[in-house]
Amino acid sequence: MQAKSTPSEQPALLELDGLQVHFQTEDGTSRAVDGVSYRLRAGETLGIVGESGCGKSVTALSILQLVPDPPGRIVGGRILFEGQDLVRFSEAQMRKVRGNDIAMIFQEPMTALNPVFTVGDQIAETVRLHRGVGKAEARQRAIEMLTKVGIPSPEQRVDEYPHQLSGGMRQRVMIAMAMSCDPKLLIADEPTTALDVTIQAQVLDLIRGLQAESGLGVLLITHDLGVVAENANHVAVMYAGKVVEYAPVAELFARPRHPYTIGLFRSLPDLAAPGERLQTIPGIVPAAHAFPSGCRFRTRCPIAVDHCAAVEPPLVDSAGPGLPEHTVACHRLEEAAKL
Amino acid sequence: MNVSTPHAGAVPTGAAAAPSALAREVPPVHVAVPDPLLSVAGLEKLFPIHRGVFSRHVGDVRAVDGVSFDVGKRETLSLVGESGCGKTTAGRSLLRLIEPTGGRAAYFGSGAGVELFDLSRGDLRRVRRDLQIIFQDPFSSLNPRMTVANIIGEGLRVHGLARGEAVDEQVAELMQIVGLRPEARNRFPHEFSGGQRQRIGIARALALKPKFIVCDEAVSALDVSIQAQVVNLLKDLQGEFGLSYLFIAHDISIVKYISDRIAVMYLGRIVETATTKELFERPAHPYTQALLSAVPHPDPTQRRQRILLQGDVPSPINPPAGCHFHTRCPVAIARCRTEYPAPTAISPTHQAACHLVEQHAGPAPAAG
Repeated sequence: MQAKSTPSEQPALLELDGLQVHFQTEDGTSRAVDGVSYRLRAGETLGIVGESGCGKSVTALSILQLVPDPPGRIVGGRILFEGQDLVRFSEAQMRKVRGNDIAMIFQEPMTALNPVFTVGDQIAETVRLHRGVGKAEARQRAIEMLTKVGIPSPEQRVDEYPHQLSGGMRQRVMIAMAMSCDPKLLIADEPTTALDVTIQAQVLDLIRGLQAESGLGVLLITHDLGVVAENANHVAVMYAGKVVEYAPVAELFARPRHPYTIGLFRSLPDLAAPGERLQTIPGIVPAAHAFPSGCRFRTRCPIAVDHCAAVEPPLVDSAGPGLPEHTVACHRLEEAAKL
Repeated sequence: MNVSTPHAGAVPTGAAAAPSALAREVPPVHVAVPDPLLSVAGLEKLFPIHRGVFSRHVGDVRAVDGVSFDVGKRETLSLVGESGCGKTTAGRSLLRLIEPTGGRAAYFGSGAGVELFDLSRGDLRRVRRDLQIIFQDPFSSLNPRMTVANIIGEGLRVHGLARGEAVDEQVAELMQIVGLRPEARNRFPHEFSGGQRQRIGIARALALKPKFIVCDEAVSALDVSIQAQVVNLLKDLQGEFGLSYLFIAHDISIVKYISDRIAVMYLGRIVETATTKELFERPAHPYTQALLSAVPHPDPTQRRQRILLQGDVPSPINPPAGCHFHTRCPVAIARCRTEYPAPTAISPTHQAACHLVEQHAGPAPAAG
């Protein structure tokens, strides 16, 4: 991704530069993340969208070096967090980063919480580890965090176990735990996918509130374009291990330029007129060990030509001069504009 | 056993096996349709809770608590609501995949109506040909040890509708209808993607030429682009074979697109039912209003006013007294805490169970 350096631009909180994460499988090398670059500034939300298997979650896990090795391995690229390359960090250094500067919340709060410890113990553990405070103080902090995320009667809830809480409550506990050490970056991997819409609205509202308060950067990974539209400042669209398009949210939704992004929007029932057929993207996402040559979307693309199979399109800024960055990886932008 | 009229607006009095513990003093929301395929009245499914050494019966999970609806011919009725509202249990107990504990369901597939809940196992099996289901999870709903041909053809064999080569021919035809290559007939489910597996499930449901299909979160597990393919397929099949769907889903945008009419469930009961257009233009129940407002829209230029509900859905073991929704309702009044609201008709096709409907739904349409 080419940086447009304007003098007023803040330095990035997180910058991924050509990140490659490969897995060794029985079927061969699976290039799950293959040259992903994106940037997130403090106080902003970057939405990462894409369908199952596009590599969005693996990218997020590798920021915290949580990809199991073997079979997974970061084989190239840099992960710059406040200018420091996390890829070069030792395990001991990473442990100081995880849960402290960078926190993560997962899709399924039941499996992410330990069922045999009270929620208070789990929040306090993070605080004691990173802040070196005593038991009583950590417990106070846990109660304070539970209050902050809107859990009723926190003094009582702090001694309860995860199974005693509803799904929405558990996700609030996850957020309380993640926020307990005042992280600078929150990675939220499908944070509301397992929740009902009314609870989803509560949780997203909470994250936005915490962000406004603390200047937190949020990496919001989701397949829900509605969630992205309402919560992100910038969006990166991923397909088959690559970012295919990146733009400010309003720009992306108003003028999607990559044929995949265009197809994705058209298949949304929200945007279809009543009675009109939904448009579809033919075929399925290719398997990660057998991505097509050249442009990986070409096998499903309505406007692909021979050139698309031969040469992989680079991600280039297609916005006019003076306009905010809008990068697209496609050889056929003019034709795509007519789709 | 045979009935000649649908249960239009019927109150489940004698039909329920055990009288409701909450002594339902008001009729349920129920909009009747002319010439229905299916007419359900007071459908109830309680799961008993046993505790202690003697397995004492200490209460019930009131999963489906007196639900009434009609499904018209060639119509799609959607049941929407959040987890635990009873929508899936309603669909399954309607087909008697789990036995309902109360209510009636008249099926008008072939002239005279048949009471589904009174049928013997043998009679039910015959009627089941007409009534099929597609499940949410295309991974666990297909037997991993059976080939696709066997999965799709099983119903034909069981019901003795075809044998030998005739089965193969029909399987090939069904696979083509749902967009699978017949050459893949001898493969196993794990060799297919999620969207393709869902197509196998659809082919299986279609094999017996049903008239009615319960689509239980049939597209929820699929990615957006694949979801659109399957939704289009379901619509095409409806047009081609004159199917009626009971579409059970939590994804409001899909429901809006696919349904003719919608019933909104909360804690085991239908709180509002209307045509799709009416429901989205003038949602009358505060829960429906909150539910619709909570759906994120893929349009960043639109910043809508959101009704944020407080708290979680209460337990169906001990539903709140009065209106079940009053604990989270932003406009509840004293009466809501004690009295379950009777349905108010907003139009001939639109009813809501709320004491405050008149104040909240705005003026009734001229046609009402």
